[in-house]
Amino acid sequence: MKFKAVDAVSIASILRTVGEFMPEVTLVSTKEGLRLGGVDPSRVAYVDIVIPSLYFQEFESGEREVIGIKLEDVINALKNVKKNDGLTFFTNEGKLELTIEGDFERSFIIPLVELEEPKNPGINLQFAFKAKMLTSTFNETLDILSDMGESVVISSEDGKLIISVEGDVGVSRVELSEAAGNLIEASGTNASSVYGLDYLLKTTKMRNSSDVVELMFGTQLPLKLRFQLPQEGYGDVYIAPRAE
Amino acid sequence: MDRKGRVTSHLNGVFYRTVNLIEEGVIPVYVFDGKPPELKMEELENRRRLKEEAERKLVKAKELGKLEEMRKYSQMSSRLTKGMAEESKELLSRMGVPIVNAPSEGEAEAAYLNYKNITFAAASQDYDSLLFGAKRLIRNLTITGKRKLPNKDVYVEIKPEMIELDELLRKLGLTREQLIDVAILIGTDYNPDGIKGIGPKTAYKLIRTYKSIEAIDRRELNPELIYFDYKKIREIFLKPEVVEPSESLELRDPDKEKVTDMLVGEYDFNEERVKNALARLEKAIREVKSLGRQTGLDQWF
Repeated sequence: MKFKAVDAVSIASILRTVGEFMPEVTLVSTKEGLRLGGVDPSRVAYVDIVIPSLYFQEFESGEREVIGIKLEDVINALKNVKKNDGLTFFTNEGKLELTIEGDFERSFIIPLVELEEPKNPGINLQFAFKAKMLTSTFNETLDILSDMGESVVISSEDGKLIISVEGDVGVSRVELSEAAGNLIEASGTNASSVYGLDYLLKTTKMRNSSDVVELMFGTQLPLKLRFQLPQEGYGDVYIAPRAE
Repeated sequence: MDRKGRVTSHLNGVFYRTVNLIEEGVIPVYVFDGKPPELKMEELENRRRLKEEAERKLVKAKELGKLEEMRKYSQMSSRLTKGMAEESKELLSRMGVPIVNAPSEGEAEAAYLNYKNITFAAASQDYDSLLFGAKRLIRNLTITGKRKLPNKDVYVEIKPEMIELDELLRKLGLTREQLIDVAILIGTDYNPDGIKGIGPKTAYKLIRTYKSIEAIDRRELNPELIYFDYKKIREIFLKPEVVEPSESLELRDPDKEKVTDMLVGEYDFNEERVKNALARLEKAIREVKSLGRQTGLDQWF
């Protein structure tokens, strides 16, 4: 498998986000593109990222290649990448050769790990409410709430999306709506559910890879965040609710 | 130690580590050993002898001022007495933390609670929990940092780890009964010496091939080498003596006054430190209760 991406930061952010949830990940490479993700060890979150071949400047793959990587090693190699750096991944004889082209070229050779291909769990849910917004809006909301408590209540009321946290200092609340211009789209019925704020905060690095995020949830249902990627790619993150 | 020369390190550990655990969102259920099975007596006698020897060596090391040996034998000779267990239970009760008294093996009871989905996982250093049927075993929950390898000047990093029984059995290609047979061949607390000449690799290969101890070809394992009642040992693991919890396993609010009376009044702990830890405990319990339980995604797969 070989690919070359023109935006190293975007790929690095995707890998850093996955790295927030799990220490190792399996990449499945086909002629259509890459798929990576899995369920986190605590089985509270499920990450599923699809990057089509057209996303890349160059992409080569066999019929189906399954590659295991230790994320800490790859993330460390990518820690100083800049916006316009080019990035090449090339798998060869049990190793991943990673080349970054920027102010100067640097290469890393990282051993692949043997992992089992995760079975896609197949979540099929009917969400009560869906809202689309800029990833920056979503992140700003989380920034406001991040030090206020440990659980976040996501609710919908008359077409508005309300994200709030109850902490020692009181209740902090952010209200988003199409009318106010901070939601691109919103539809559905009234619902409310509680999620661990720390899980939501693990997704904030996706702002460097994705401009738009779709948020879907229902009462006592998992939260689904779909980060839109170019060329119809996506990064889905499911987070299980906290029981009332 | 307190003014009266009583050991208090167990209370120190139970108190502060429990506060730390609850602050991290873990709801601990402490399981205490009951009466061990008869078959364990030999192993318990071995352990007692080793500890006595370590105590003798500790005294000698102290006389000679050998620090490294003092550290080693001090660790080897530490004992958990019945009194220390009772004091720990009393403290946990005052802290509002649930406890369960196992009728026999504590590992078995912890495994049972997990098997019945009353708990998320059994937490222990002992892999026996898996043999007793725990669905998940967490090791190194309260042990982190670096650990010295015995008799070597090498340190390894210790991190918490979780082992899921289903995944383990799938990877090994064994059932739980077969895994128990592998353990019996190698040696368990109920047959500490195992079988001469059979280590983990051979034991695994034999059970993978023959599926059970009784089916092993005589040419590969002479039945005369099996000097113990393996069927009885198997039963201990498959049908251990366990009980349903008699009390609620919910966290209660701590009785701060009673905890202070015990630790400060009775055992000379520093009042300020205990007060601060109790404030942390109260806050942590409140948060854990108000958060509700974090569910997993499995029910939606």
